[in-house]
Amino acid sequence: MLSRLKTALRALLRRTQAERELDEELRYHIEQQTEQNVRLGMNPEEARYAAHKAFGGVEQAKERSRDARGVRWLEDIWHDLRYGARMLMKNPGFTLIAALTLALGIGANTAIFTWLKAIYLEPLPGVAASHRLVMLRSTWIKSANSPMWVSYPNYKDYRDRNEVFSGLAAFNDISFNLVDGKGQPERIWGSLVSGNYFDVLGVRLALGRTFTPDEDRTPGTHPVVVISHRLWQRRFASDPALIGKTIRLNQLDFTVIGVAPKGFRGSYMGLEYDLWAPAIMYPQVSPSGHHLDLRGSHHFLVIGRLRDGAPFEQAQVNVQAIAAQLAKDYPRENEGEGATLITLIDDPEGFGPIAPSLMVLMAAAGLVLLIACVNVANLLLARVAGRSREMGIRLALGAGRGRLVRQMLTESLLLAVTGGAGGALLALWLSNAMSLMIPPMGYPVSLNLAWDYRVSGFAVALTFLTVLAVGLVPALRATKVDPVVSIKNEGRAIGALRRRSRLRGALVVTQIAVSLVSLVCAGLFIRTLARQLKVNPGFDPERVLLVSMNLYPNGYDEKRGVEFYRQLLERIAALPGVVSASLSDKVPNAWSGGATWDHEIEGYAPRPDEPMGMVYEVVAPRYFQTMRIPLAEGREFSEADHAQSAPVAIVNETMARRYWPGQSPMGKRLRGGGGKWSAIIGVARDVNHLGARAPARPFMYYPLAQDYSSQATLVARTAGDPWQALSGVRGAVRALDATLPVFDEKTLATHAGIPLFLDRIVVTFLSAFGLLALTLAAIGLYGVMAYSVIARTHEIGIRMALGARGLDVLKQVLKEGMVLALIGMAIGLAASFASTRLMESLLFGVSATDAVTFVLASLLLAAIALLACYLPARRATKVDPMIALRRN
Amino acid sequence: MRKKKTDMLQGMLDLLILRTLRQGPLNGWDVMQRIQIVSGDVFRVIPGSLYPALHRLEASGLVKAEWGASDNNRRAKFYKLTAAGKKQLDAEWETWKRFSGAVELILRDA
Repeated sequence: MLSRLKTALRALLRRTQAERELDEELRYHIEQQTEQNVRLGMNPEEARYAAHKAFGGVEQAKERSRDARGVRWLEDIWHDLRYGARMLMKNPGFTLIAALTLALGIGANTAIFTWLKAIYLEPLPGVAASHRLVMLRSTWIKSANSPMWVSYPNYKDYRDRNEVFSGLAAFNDISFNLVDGKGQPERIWGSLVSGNYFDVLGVRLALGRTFTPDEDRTPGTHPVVVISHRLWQRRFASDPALIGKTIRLNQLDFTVIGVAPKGFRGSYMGLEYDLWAPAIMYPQVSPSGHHLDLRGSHHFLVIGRLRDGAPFEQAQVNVQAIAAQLAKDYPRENEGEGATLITLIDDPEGFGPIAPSLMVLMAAAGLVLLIACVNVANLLLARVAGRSREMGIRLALGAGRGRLVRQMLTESLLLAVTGGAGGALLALWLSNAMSLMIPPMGYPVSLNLAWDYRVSGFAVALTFLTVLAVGLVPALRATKVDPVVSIKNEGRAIGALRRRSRLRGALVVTQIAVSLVSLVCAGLFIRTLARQLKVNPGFDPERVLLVSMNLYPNGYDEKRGVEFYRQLLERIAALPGVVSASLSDKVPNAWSGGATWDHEIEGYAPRPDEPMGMVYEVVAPRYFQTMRIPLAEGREFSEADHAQSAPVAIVNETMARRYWPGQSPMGKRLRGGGGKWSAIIGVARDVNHLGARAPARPFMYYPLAQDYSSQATLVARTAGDPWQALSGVRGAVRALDATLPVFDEKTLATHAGIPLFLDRIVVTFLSAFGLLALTLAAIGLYGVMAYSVIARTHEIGIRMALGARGLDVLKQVLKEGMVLALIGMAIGLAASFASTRLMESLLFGVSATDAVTFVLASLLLAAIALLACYLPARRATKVDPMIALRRN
Repeated sequence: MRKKKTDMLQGMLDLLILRTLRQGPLNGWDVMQRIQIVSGDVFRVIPGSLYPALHRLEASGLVKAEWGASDNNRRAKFYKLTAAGKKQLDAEWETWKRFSGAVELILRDA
């Protein structure tokens, strides 16, 4: 039928010309007939009139000719669109609400899909076939075989001995100080990587080359670096001549040999790196660099690409066998060490932790879209019922049912497409907003939320489904009309009305149930968040400024570093507006809970499998005073505790209780693996760094002057707004060293809020969804009751004429509406009880069947439902019986 | 039910038009006249049905249309049988012969 299509298209394009030709053709015929009539003896007017009559309907002939041209369906669609648009314009209020609610539903779902896509489909942007990549982790019997980083010598053995990987690469993260002639000194995050890094990941550089085998061999040689695309753009103005030039990183000149492709950000999920240098440069750029050749130092992450056809299980067996062999070959370092493979999704340092919360969000968004569709369908149904007479007439005049259904679907199509477009914009805004909500965590967190064809596809598919969901039922219902009945009985078609009312009622009941579930979930999370906020963190987070710096890259050794810190604190404490100041090697939070250090406690004999790795923090004098952490016993560090004086330490209450139960730990001694014995001079109250959910853990503090750390965070308590002190702090640092960058400026309150970040997001969205669902359900209920009142005007008029008072009518309508609402609430409560159980693990301090939440949510719903019924009920009381009885 | 009736009538009309055009290209008016004359005034095709039929045949590729000059030098649209149209005509003629033959047999079987 290709010729048919061609004719149709051609006809459509040259529509006006075709119309003219048709007109001319038929006119010719009539001219001929007229002439013949004249020859037969009629006068000109009669002849023309008779010719027209004999033709048998010129306009109909034109119509049928147009039909025959096969172009009709295209014109019909265009006509439907314009008609549908006009109908929607006539009811701007309805159209606006409907389009808006659909936009919200589609937008929210698309935004969350963007996140899910970033996590599941493209966890490492710019990398080829990421589903064939796995992480190789070392495990250790003594730490319950939890996944750990890998040492570089072990990595090399895995790389050389395995039979299942086409390539195995190692990487870590390093903080660099970039200093060059132009611009301020800047702290840049980068990775030290094995020579085959880019090959294993399947990344082709945008410019330049990757590492040669020479650059992977001898430590200390070959200071070369590949930089990221965005660094190249931002700092070096996309200069192609940068290749071959040097940049100064951590006091060493590195030659730039390549630029990574746009969008590639490294192999650590969720983080974005800007530099990649060979692992052999480790000793030159980091204070821990000497660990490169130590088999016992787990300083690298290992990622590998499985060979085609090598199943995961086989690879798992292979690496475990190699691990066992290594444990035999190097009993001192590798004893008890195994290996395991983990997929990118499941890796604990990947996105695994966020996935459950995202699923909850997705479910909630899906629910909202469902409600929105049901609501709009409901409103369409109500409108359609009023057109049953029109439908009946058109069906009787010969319109096909399919044609009418198509016309009604067009309206839904227009609504859904408008909603989809609005939703797309909303999704863009939402996913950006969600990234902005991520607090500064000291790491270069970034998610690949770019809009691509997959997201568009999702949005389009969702819109399409919405059209069907919203428009199909009303369209089918509307056209399932017996023409005779409807023409006669519009306004009094009792049977059909009852049936349709029940359907609409069912829709509203569903909406109410769904919104109750949403409200309950939101309420539970709100209480969870509130409970967590109430928990005393153990310090005072208000009015404290945090600023971080890294001395090592600027060439400070321990002596100079300690002196720098001392002078810095002097200057900072002297600043106006600063109440007290101190330093910490890092203030712990959920992301950097703390490195552990194996400890020996004098007089305490640990069990064979008991982990003795302690979390600790290295702090300067007056730390506890600045943070307002109370000391239960003893004193805090002072200037008297320095490198030449006796080594000291402070422990927290949990640690004291654990290792010195029933006695005071003051004066007792402990030491970190291989260090000197430190005496305990104080016991601090527990501090809750990881959020209220985390159990209390043993924690200890060392003095900065005795346990030097080249990286430190300044903690400054201010009298007023902490940000006011920032310029003073920067000035103090600059005065001591103009080439030292500072970074991660934030308040302690923000920092302490990091563990709650996820809860906050979930609460915000669930509450928004819950309220939205409630509004939609209320609109739906209002619509149903309003229509019911209008349809029963006749009946109400009779009742009032027979003596019913306004109050009685009001009560009757209210009762009807509230019955619907109560049924919905009952279903909703049952559904909530069943489903909140699934969320139990995400809650804190609140049970999944918390009575207060359930009751409050129900009350709120009932109140709104009452309002939604009251308005139409009031209108019912205003019915004038005389008018109502006259209406037919 | 309604559709079937029009289908049959439409089929007959198509056959008559195709046959009439076999002689050579004609415009709509001519076709109508020719059918009327040749059938001895038995068939008077209503123009309101004729033109839709002609356009349908054109859309199906059985006839081709061209604008030309009529006998009295006016502009008219002429229809010409295509190769496909000729084939269709022969096929429909066969079908008609079989159909009318069968009707004949039944009517004669008294």
